[in-house]
Amino acid sequence: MDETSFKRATKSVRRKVITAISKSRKGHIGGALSSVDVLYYLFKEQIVQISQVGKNTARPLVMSKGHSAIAVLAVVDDLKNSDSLDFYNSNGSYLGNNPSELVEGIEFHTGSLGHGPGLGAGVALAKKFEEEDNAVCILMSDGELNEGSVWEAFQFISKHRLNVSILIDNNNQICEDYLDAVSPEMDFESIFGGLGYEYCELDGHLLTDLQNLHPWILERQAPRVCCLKTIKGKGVSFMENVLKWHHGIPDETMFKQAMEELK
Amino acid sequence: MTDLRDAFFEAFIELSAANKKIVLLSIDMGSQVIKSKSHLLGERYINVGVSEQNAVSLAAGLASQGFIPFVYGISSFLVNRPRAQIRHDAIIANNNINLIGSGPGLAYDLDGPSHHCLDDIQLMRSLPGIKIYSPFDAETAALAVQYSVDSNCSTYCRLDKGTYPPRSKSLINIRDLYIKPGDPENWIVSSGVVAHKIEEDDGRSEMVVLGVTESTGSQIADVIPDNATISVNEEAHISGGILSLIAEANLLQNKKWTFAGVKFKNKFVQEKWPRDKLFELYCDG
Repeated sequence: MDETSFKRATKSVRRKVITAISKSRKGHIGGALSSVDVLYYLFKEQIVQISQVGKNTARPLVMSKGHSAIAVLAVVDDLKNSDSLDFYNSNGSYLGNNPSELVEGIEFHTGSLGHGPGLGAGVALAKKFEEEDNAVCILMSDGELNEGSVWEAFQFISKHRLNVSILIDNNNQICEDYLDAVSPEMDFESIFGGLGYEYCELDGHLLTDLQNLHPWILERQAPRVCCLKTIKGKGVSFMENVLKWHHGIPDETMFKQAMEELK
Repeated sequence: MTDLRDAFFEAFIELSAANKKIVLLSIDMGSQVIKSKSHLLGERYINVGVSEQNAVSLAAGLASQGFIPFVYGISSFLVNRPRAQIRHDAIIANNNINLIGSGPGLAYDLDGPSHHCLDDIQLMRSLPGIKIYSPFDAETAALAVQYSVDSNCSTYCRLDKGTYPPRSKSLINIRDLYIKPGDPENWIVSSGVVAHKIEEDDGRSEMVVLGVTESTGSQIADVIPDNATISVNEEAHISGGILSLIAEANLLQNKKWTFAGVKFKNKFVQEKWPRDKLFELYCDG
């Protein structure tokens, strides 16, 4: 994958995200756009696998930040060259704001924040029992670090040396505020290093940085945390780092401008 | 007389030896049998520490990969603290997990209302599809393990502490219910070890509810005649327990039951007393 094709593809995925949400008038654009690049890279390189309904994959993704599931759905849609998002949020569809394991590409049901690390730890523990050495990948938001349950899971994963890769989408925004307005600034390297994790920090939008994830996820075994520095609303100038776009819906003019910028 | 926990975990260890998919996650909770025999489970027994939320999510993750996880902790904490994890990771996602709540009702009498668990049936019954077991002797404790392993849903077992004499074999078993026939128009219904508080031979018919599911109300309605008087004896707040279940059945099954001897109120008692005295205080409005 080169930079040009990566940019072309991730722009296409972003257009799908914004189109689906604009059409259905419901969804979370900002956090989806901040995680599109890493999700596209992970699925395209088959570092994580696209699940089929009712079947487990060897290299699963736990989408802990469930409200950004549209990004997963759009990536899968793009890679499979399908039109599945036509049914996003439509009556009777399983394709909704939060991920249902009843659709292709979503292996685990999430939507309530703070559950992914514990759930992923259980999956990794099962793989350890079965002597499978594939990593379980968990994508969580930095806002989920407010949830106490994730710290319970972090301790367990470290103590049992589970083959888990935790990716933190560090866009520094929650719904109503910037994260650093409600939480202390955290020195992730010290915190996770102190908990026994290998730690790295990458630009979550830069292909050359994301390419480090290939060996980091597939070849390492120790519990590890990667902080992905990202921008909420990435790719659309008027959405970037603006709180409104956590779940704002663009009007027709804004939609057209977003599509123009993502050409 | 056998300690209910020992009976439960003896059966558990036996089943686990035959089924390598069974995993026990203890929330820093022991028992005599666990202490002496957990090594037989090898790595499938883990003390996860004081972390109810993580224990339930872990169990759901294990279940998603085909394992049969049991989570063992103190009832009051197990049903309250990780309820979101039970709801989202297990029930909504169809990951079948088995919860073992040690010390339901007033079992932890002297530990105070933080440990009194009078809302577990209420909380678990509000989750669609979960099955609740309230064993009341060694035999039903062992059955609860077997039923949980065999079930195709999540389960919650109200595992009491202490030794109790056998009772179930002297009762007639109809699905989830145990019956002692007496006056068909007068019934006393109980659940769990409260069944041992019922006075012998007072002439009434007796029913002990072992399992609670969405169909339990109709099971009860199939047994108790339309115009009967029912007294419920349980350690539970007035809302949501067995009494509520029967009152719902009265409405939904078009019965004309009369209720007598309603005891527990919705309150917490701070005073430290042994279980029997606490029972009275919780009943005294």
